[in-house]
Amino acid sequence: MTRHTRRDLLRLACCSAAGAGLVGGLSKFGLVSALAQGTTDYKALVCIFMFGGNDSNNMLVPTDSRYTQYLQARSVLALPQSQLLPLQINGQSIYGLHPNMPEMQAFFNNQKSLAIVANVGTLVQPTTQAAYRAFQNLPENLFSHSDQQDQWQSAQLAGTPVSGWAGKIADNVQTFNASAQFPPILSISGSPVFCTGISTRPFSMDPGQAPGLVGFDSSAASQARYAATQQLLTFDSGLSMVQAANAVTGQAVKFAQVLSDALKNIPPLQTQFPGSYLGQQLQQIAQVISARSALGVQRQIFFCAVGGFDTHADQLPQQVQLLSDVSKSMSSFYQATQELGVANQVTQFTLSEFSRTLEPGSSGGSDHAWGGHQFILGGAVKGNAIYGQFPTLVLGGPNDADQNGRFIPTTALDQYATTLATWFGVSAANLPSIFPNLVNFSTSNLGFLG
Amino acid sequence: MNRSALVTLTALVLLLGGCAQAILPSGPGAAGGPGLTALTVTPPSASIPGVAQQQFTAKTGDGSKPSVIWSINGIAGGNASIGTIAANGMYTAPEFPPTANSITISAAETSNSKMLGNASATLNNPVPQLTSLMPLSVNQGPFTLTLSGLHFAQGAVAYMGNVALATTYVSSTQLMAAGTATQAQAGTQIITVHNPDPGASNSAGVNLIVKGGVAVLVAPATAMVRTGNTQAFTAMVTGALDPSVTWSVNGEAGGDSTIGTVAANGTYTAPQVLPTPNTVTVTATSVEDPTKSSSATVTLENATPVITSVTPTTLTANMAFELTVNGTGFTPGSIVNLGTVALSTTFIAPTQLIAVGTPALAQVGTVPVTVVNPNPGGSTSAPVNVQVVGPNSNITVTISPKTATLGAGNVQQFVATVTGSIDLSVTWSVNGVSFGNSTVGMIDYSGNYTAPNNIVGLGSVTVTATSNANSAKSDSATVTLTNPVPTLSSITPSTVGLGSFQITLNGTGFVSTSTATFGGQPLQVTYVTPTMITAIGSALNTQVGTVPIILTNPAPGGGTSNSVNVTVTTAGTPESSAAAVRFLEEASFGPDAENVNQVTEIGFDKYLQNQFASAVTPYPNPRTNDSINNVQQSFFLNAIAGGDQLRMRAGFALNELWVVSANTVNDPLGYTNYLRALDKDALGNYLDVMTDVTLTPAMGTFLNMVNNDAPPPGEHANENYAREIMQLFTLGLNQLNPDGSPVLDTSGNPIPTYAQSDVMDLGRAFTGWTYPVTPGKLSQNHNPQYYGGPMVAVESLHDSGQKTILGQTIPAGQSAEQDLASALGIIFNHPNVGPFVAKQMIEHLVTSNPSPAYVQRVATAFNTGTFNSYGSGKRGDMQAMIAAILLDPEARRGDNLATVVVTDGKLREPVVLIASIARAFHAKTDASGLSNWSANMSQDLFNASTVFNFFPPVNPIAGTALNGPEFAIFDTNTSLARMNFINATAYQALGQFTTLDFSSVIAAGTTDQMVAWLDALFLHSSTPTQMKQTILTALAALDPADTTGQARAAIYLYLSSSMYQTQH
Repeated sequence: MTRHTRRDLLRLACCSAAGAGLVGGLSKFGLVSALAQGTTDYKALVCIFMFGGNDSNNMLVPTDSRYTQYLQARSVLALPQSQLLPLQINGQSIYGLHPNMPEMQAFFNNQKSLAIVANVGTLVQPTTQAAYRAFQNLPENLFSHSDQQDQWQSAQLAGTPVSGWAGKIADNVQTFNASAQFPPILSISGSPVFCTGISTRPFSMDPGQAPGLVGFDSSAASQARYAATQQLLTFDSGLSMVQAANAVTGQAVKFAQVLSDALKNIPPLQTQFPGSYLGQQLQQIAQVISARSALGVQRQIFFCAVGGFDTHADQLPQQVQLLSDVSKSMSSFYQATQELGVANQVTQFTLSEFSRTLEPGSSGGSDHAWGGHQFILGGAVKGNAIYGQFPTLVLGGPNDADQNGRFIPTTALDQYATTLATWFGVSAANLPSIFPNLVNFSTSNLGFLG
Repeated sequence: MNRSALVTLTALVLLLGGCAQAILPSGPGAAGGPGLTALTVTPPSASIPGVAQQQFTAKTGDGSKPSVIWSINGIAGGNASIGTIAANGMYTAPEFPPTANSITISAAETSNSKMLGNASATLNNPVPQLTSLMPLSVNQGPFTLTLSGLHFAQGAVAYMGNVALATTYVSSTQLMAAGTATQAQAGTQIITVHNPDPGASNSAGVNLIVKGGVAVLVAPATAMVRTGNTQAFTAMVTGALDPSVTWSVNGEAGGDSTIGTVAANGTYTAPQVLPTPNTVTVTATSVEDPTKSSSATVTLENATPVITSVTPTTLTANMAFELTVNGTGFTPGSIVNLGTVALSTTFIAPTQLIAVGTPALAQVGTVPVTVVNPNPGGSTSAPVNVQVVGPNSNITVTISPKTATLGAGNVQQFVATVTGSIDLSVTWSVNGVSFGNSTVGMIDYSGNYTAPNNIVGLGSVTVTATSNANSAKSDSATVTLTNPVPTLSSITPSTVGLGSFQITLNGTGFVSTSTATFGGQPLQVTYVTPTMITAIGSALNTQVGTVPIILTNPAPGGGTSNSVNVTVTTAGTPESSAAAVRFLEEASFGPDAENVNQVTEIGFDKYLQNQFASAVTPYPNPRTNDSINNVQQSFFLNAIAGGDQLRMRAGFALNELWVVSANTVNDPLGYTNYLRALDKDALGNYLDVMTDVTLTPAMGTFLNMVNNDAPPPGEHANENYAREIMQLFTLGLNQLNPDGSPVLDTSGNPIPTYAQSDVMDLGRAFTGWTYPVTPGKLSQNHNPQYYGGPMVAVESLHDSGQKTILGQTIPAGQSAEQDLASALGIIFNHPNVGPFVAKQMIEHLVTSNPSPAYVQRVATAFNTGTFNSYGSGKRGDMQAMIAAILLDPEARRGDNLATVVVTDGKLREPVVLIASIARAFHAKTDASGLSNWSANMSQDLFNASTVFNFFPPVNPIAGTALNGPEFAIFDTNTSLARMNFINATAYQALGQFTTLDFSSVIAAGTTDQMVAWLDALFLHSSTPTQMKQTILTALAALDPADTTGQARAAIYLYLSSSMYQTQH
């Protein structure tokens, strides 16, 4: 729910650059194992969270006769039919992508490495219009950013989650990471609940530079102060808040050094990334993937995020920027995985807390809704297909929760995430502990991953 | 076609029976019988059509013309049936000839009736005259015509062209004719009347229109016209009664400005700009038969351009310019040439072009400007000259203001405006010294001049801005350096206990060399701004009562301020130092030694009363060129030096509750006015917070209430503000018990506070507001963005229908203001507000995990507006709520180690962490750059990425059962950033103009004493022995003589520890 501004990144890069050399000299923290790790069984999931609620009504648009329905309901927010980028499936085209996502169009049509899941969202169980209107077994606090973000990240549809499904997936694949020197989850965008498991804790960093402590040198006095710093982090004061802070800082000091050492001899990527915040995050993720052997990890989950999708006003020009950034950044990352030879082992997927009302609001934007469309991109993806059911784009129509085009999802988050988890190596037996509502759906695997 | 009839004239001699006197002539040509002398009548014979006249002449043999008597067929003078003849021989034929149509004209000499002569004449039918038709036009197929005219003979036949019509004779003036018109005959046909023999003849023709045969012909058929010029066209219409036409261009009646226009008279005016394609069709269409038309093809060519003026008339070599060229005949594609160089030209209008370019050095001098129009018709205008001058020779530098008067250490912003150069930068100097120095004062890159501390003898200095492009160009301002007479407006706090204290003096005219006295004793003064100074002093037992504070500015100028009294008291309930430290961590931006002493002396209540009575620390009005960074700077300055600490701390909590992000509202004035509203109401009433913040254009912009119009059909009112004011600012998602716990239904599930319909109706209640009017502008429905006041209502854009919000009805027909007040009133009075606001304020000030009972006690204070002696008794009273928060036993437990509860406390948030450290070490600072540090720690002051603030009110700490909002921005990344911030605190600097005073730590003495000093101020004397020992061990590795190094290391280890990063 937080993200750093671009300004922060620049600052941080400066500060860290000064400090990296100093810390690097400390043999005490040169803990990187020389363990030669075979990485043939490497897999990574990369989550791109679009904060604010992506209006996917304009990301994927029917171009056949249903376009008329779209046009009527979307009114001032409708994209011209001629500008939509046609998606070809078996020589037919009945959907188009937002005009600023040509990279995604190419992945869908040509490389066939992009799949789309339509109208996916938070669901306790298959939900009808009547059930919604009777408030029967609904996720708590629909249409609330914070709650729906938490639910998308945790698959827990009531209360305040303490762990996320990525964290729990990481808990479940510990056996693959038995030799790991580094946490299985890395977030380039704070420490969202998504990344916290029962035992798993993420490593968080900003893009650009591995973090580390500054201000120490090899003098005895400095070393003594460093030793004291470490001891203070392990000292049990008995105070809960102090202990909680120590836990995080202790991990930070330890793993920052591991990461810094692992990245030290990694050649820079040749693939060019956009200069956007999202592009820089994905570039950092690719750089860490390139150091996977040194980190000793075989299963990694990455989290990055982009904000600004809460387009209550003046939506159309904003979406041009937002979706263009998503398309270009994901495209660059895919190319980087090709450069690293892991394109078939790394899968990117999008999350967003909700889509937005099909009906426009009164200031050229749209408001909070429910089910939306998500992208999965990678060499292992069974692409060139749209999974799930595309909703009927009619206000008050069969998929509408009410009258403003807030679509009741027809595919559950649990099904979407389970498909990813299964590919990643979570056994079927362990899925219900991660996705408590999965049992309510007849299909657990949507089939978009091989 | 005329049909000729030949009339054969035959000379006949007619013997006519006549009167008794008459003798019949005996033969033709010569009259007279035997014995008579003959007269010769000429012509001897004639053929005469009806009504025609014929002159006859009678002559004798010798050629004389005797007087004669004329007769026809022997009848003197003739008669109507055979014609009449006048005495002069003029014969007039009857209209129609008699059956016997040969007549004899005789002349008999008057004087000798025997002298006779004859002539003969044949009488014919008259020539028919057709004058009119009825009708004038006929449809194709059978028709009947009535023909009017003269001299129609019996048997006359009407013809249409050469086709005889069935003709009925009605009279000599009227015929009826019938026929059938064929398609081939459509158009104009000629009707004639043919009179039969004798003397058959045809009338002249009269046109008959056979419909369906209209034809139009436009001339000329082709034309070339230059843009803006005219061409006359004519249209000839045949086959129509109505010759009128309508004119069109490319099928558009009258044409238009793109393709040219055509007038009713056929005059075509070419467009001002060449269309594509450059040929158009001008068409005339028959009004009578709109299916008939004719067209001309017009080829358009560009006009010949004419320049009337060029501005500017002087350009500078090597410097980009924008040239406005006025004239006529310009077109897209017109190129402005400067000399021979084609400029990048923008077509504005046919009368205006804008061209940009950069003249070369070689062009210095007089250079012709021409406009070249492109093909078709390409041509070049006559030149107009401009002057190109040498590079940077016409730079101007203007400095503003031109004069200023400053006291020691005061700051004045100068703005240098440079024209005439691409390089607009200047170098600032003071008395000729680049960027000045400590003697004459310093000036930074932005033109902010800071007067030196010692201004004695300087008089004035000259601040100069010199163009970097041309060092010969500069402008200067004179700064008179003289200290003003200071005035004191307020002192915070206005009551102090015994011993050391720190107070903040508010007023005007403060300078860096100001001194202050407290009952005549000097105070230790720190200059902050011309309106704020902090001072440290000590109150003695002998000073109990009122003690005057006077501020003095030294010469030059200078003087002594008015006196403002501070009350020295021994009243109050003393507290321990540890309790005072904990209390100040919650009630201010952090303790320092003096404030700890004060709370120790006067206790909590007196401190609160002092604070509630304090004047608001004002935010300065943003200056020209200020950014949000300057507002961040003002915030930190106030937080570090301002006297009304509690108001500002509560205001900052509201800033994180009622979030407006400067990421969106990147406007210093807008953000400042929003902060002013928060500070104003922080110690007032929550309903005022709700109303004032709602109406700030900053919030209006951030959550889209501004210009949220009544929705048209097919749209709904913007829901953003409606949803978030309930979810985040007032109510929360679930119904709450008075202790803040959720109300549960029978199944144990929470109950939503509101439904989607509430959000949508509240969104409608919030419609009809726009920005205040920018001064000097006219009011509009959507005023342009302006932040200098509250939003204003536009009733015509307000949805005045009925709304139902939280089960209560807002009636239809209310104004925007009324609906706003109704809606906010309904929300404010909802039972959730007390516990919702109470819990969040507790979390911001005291602890992340308040017990339900604590929340309920504070909520009760909010609901009743009363806590102990605090509060107005009105619901929502902020002072009652804040006192309840700070004085609650749950807040105060831990004031001594015996009452510590291990789950109490909170992680310090970065902004408060920074301010606390600066306060503890009596920072001398302009606060620049401090926000960079908080941003590194994921709290970019005022720039929360969303309305959800930097961290949420509910955030489980991983691996615990505890809530920890600030832990949402505490991860491996930011925990290292915090430690690196402490490194800068201890070993480097927090900013170019920030210094921390470690002298008290160093002066403490031994490393044990240093640790004790830090323990008291930063950990309220609760440092565990093991921690102290660890720190002392590290300090022992330093040179014992390096007390500064020891102090720095001790500060690093203390402040970077989680013991200090958390507040407990």
